[in-house]
Amino acid sequence: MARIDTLPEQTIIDGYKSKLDFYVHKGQPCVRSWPRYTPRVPHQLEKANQDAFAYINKLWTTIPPFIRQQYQRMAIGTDFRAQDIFVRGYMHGLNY
Amino acid sequence: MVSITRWVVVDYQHNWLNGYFTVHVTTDIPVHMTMLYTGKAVRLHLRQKVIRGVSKLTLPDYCFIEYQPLDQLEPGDTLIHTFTFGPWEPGQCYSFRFIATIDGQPSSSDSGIFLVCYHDPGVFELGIFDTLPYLHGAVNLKAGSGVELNYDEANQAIMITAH
Repeated sequence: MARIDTLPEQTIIDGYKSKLDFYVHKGQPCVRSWPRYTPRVPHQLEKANQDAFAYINKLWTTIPPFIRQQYQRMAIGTDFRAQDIFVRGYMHGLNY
Repeated sequence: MVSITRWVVVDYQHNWLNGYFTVHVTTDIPVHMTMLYTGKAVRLHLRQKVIRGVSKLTLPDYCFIEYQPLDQLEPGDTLIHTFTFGPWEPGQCYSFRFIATIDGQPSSSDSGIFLVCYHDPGVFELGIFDTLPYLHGAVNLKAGSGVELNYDEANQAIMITAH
């Protein structure tokens, strides 16, 4: 990791994709080598969450259109897809 | 894999009988549900947070207020849940959502917000005369009621009135 004065332009950041990772930590622009994915066997609770996440995403395609429309309505005006809200409601609950 | 601490609505049916609203909800695992319903419009509050120096919208807050809780009719944890309340006036809309317990323990899962409006079954629209010189449709009339046809010249429409 190295501290830098300012973040370069987005095109430069995009050009270093998968080589260098530019980010801001507590207001300080930084750059580091691109994070490497080192797969391992997940912990038990981690695996349970991954399975639940896969389950609910797969379920999205099978729920009745009326239910899907309700989530689509909830997603209007947000940056999220209806499916994101559906998944979030199952995994953690929604912000009511 | 089905989680034993989370639930989701997988099927939904509703109907009205004499203005009374009945909804049947099916969940993926047995839970005990409570319906929260409100006649107030649900508002959206957008939230944002800074991620790596970039401001991004997070999941919004849904302002679900002045609601009434309604327990399911079936006792205990079930797959199918029935709720009924009313009567609804024609044109009236309600928003509702569901919360649930599993073996008496609260679950973090939430349903989405359902918005349902009650339309008077006696009011209907057949459509607009276009390429065909006739329109098809059906309406439920009470015994002893009649139908009156009037030509509305201003709108070039035939008004069908049941009384």
